[in-house]
Amino acid sequence: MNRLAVMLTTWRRRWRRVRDRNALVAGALIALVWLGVLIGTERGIGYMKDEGYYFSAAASNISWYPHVTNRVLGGDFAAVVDRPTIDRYWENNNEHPPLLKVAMGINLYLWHAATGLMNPGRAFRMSTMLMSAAVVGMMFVFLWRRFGTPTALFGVAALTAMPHFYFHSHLNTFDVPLVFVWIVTIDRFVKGFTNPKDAVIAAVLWGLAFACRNAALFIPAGVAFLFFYAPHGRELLRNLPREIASLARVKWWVWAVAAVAVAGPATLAGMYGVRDGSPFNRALFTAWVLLALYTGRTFWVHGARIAPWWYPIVPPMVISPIVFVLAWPWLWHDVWNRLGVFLNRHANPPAWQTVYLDRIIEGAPPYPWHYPFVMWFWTIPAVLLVLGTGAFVLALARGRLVRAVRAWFAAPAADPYEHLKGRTIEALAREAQTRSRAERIASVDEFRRHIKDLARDRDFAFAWMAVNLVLPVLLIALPTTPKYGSVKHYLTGMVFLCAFAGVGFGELYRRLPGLLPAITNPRRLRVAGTIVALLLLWPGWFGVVAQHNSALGYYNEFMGSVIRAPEVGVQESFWAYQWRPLADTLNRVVPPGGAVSFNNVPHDSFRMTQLTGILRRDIRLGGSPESSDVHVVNLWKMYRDGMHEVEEKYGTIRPLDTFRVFGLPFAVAYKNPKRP
Amino acid sequence: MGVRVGFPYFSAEPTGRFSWGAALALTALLLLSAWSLWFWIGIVRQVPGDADTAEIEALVRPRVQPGDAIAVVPFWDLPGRGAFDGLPVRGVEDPALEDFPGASRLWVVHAFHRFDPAAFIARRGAALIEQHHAGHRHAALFTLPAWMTNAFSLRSRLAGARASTVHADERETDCGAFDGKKIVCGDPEWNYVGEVLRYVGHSDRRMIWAHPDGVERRIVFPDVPIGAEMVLSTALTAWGAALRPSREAPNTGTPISLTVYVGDEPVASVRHEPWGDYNRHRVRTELYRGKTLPVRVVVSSPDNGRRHFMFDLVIRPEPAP
Repeated sequence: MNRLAVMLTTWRRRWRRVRDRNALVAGALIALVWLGVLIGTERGIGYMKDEGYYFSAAASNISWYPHVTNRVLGGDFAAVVDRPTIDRYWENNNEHPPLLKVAMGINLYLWHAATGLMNPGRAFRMSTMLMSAAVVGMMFVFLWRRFGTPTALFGVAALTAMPHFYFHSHLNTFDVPLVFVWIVTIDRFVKGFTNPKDAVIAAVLWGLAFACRNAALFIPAGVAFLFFYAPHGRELLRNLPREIASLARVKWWVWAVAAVAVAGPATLAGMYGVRDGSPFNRALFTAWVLLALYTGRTFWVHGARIAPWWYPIVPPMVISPIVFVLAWPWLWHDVWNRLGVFLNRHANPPAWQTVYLDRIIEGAPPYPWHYPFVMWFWTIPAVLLVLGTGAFVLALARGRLVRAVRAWFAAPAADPYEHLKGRTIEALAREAQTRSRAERIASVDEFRRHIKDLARDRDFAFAWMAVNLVLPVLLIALPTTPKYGSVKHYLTGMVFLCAFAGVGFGELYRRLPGLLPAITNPRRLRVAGTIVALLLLWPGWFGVVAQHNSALGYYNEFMGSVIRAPEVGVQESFWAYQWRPLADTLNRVVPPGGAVSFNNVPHDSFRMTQLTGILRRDIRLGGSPESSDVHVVNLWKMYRDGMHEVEEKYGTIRPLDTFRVFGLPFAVAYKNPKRP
Repeated sequence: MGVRVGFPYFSAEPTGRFSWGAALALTALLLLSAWSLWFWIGIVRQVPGDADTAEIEALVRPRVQPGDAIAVVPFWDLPGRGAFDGLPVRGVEDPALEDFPGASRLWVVHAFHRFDPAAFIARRGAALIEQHHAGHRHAALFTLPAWMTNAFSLRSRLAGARASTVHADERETDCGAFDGKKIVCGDPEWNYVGEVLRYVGHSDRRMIWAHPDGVERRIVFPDVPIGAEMVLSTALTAWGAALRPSREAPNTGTPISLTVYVGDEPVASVRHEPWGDYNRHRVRTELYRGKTLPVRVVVSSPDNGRRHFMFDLVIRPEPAP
């Protein structure tokens, strides 16, 4: 008992020393509230087409772990790398990396299989809902630490008022989880600019992030920008000749290990890799793991002796790839071929059909580059779009880049590399070698002191937010990137637009006393600020409430709301979930053992509605309108012709029931008159 | 007004100094919020309920006569359209842009402020007979001008039409006879000529399915009384318009050419672009007015893959204004 009391006292003292404990507690509470909202509203949201695929993939992936564990405990150690077993559990849905599906499976086990607390559909979805709550909490803490309470509160409130973010936060898909892993990884990379241990952790996280979602591959593009925006990049370039020269002083056995690490896998690939069916390669993986461990340990233990500009470069190059591969057992066999298959699939991704400006986009690139910008303009509540964009533009206009451009135009810029002109690398290397090691250390130490307060650099904070806002959008804007899924592929950008909206509100908030002379004390300021915030947030919340079960098709005031979607030529919705509100009608109308057919609902999604009690379990998934009692069409342009065909077959255009949003049909059900 | 030490890093204290920038920004945002309120109230208030739909059906259905056409606006209003099951009803985007060949009167059942009766009268030369209102649903009955009433579509002459396929070796093979619904030209289910209802050009349209096959698909309508002009419509279904050339198949998704011959003379030659949804062309046929001649339609495409093509030809004895 005394030991416990001492431990608790020590923890309390440490906790009091956490200067922003209030923000952490508030962030956690806000995250919990958001989680509660998501759980409370989850049942009304139908299951997406893709969720069905991930249900079965997640169940398959997660089952590998207990299966292998049992075999290993029984003495069958080879079970870990047994190829037929791996293929059986990991082949399903291998176009997507596995970790998020593993997370879905873990949540299925925790919330349903082991405890029975939730039905399987909600249990699967808890993975995303937890990560969404984490994003909300993290954003609150991030904004509070830098900009204060009004900004933080408004920023996360704005995020909850984004109908698309709200909707995607419920789904058993990868889009909101990508936001979570993206933020966590890039944040750690930036911390790793100044701390070698964080750099090692970032390398591990990036490998794991890529094992969650392929879009995480582009995180280093943002990190690279921030690297050169921070002083690190400039220092690296300035010191590059000296760094190259200092490599000659590295111990010979490090060169030997590196040569083996590079030449070894290449040789083994040459021997095994191009042949189909190559088995798990112990030598390759051992060399790879050892190199990663060595690199990680070097930076972890001796990082203070390494120039900081190498922190975000070397560890990810060495550690991240093996972490990614180890996280995905399907890659362990025939590693080069399967890695090639995976990467090639994402270098040449399929272009799922989508309607955009009255054209159906599919097939080969180029795709319209303006898609994300136009969809962005139409899918974010108008007030938040204007506020966030305005704050972003203002931050950009006052930022270091613009100042640098202005300074560049204002006066001839001094060439920082003037001293290198006309000199060869060999001459520089000889010169560097003649300089003392102490001189080099002194300059690095000076650099460390200079960058110590990177976290307190306002320009850098805005740059960090801007990168996370712009990069996801730019990736989708590339003409080679298929366009589909509305805004789901750049939800990260939406999160940081809300962050900028929070910054904008914060600036307005602190100027309220100057605008409203009646504000004479902090209490009145808080009241006025709250009123202003509510006036700015309510349109978004209205969108969330009004389209709580259809927000995948939320369009804002600038477009004229979702009812303009078929007129403008964009999709009112997609993903085959829209029939959920018709479930009560189906339960009432379909006879016992009857069948319901759909234009585009896969079996797993259909089955989940039965397992969760939404649809009667005796109702079958019909194979065709002719053999079904009811046919349901989830509507968008491509499927309207199918609706006509059903009307022709059934001999009626009068729907049994429709799910409408502001009067626009999202799903329509027809009763087969030829069935009783 | 300095920067705080510690947390937060960048926030400054509230200031009592007036800022024009902040004033303008706050005013603009609050006005935008007010506009949003007005907008969303308008969106919510215009939605017709089931009672409105039932009431407008009860008002209109007994008054529908033979020769009437019914247009539901907007085209996506399925409950409004479904209320007139069994009647000649179509969902259309703008009735002023549509033809209703053979109809002497037109009912426009509308909601969501998508139809202006006065504008329709002005643009089409129609005359308003009566109007009905049921909550947020409305119905207006017009008499149509003679040039529209007297017009007819070649869809009504499919029974007497012949279709054939010209192959690469210049051999021409005839399709089967009209079986009451279509003229079957071969095995794949798409290989026929017949009337279909499809959603193109933001409206439900009845058109003649004419998927190209071989080098050319020829369709001949014998003994057609030619008028002052024709309205030629061409369309690709959504599925057909979606096809793009790909790495594996670079020559797919090709445009479709359609030529109309009156007698042996070409009067119209159009190219329907591969991404094109719906197009209309007005073709003057004054030279042949009053004559009864065969009309031949020739459809071709460099690559016939997924060319879900349709056309319609409306003969107008008198020209439209």
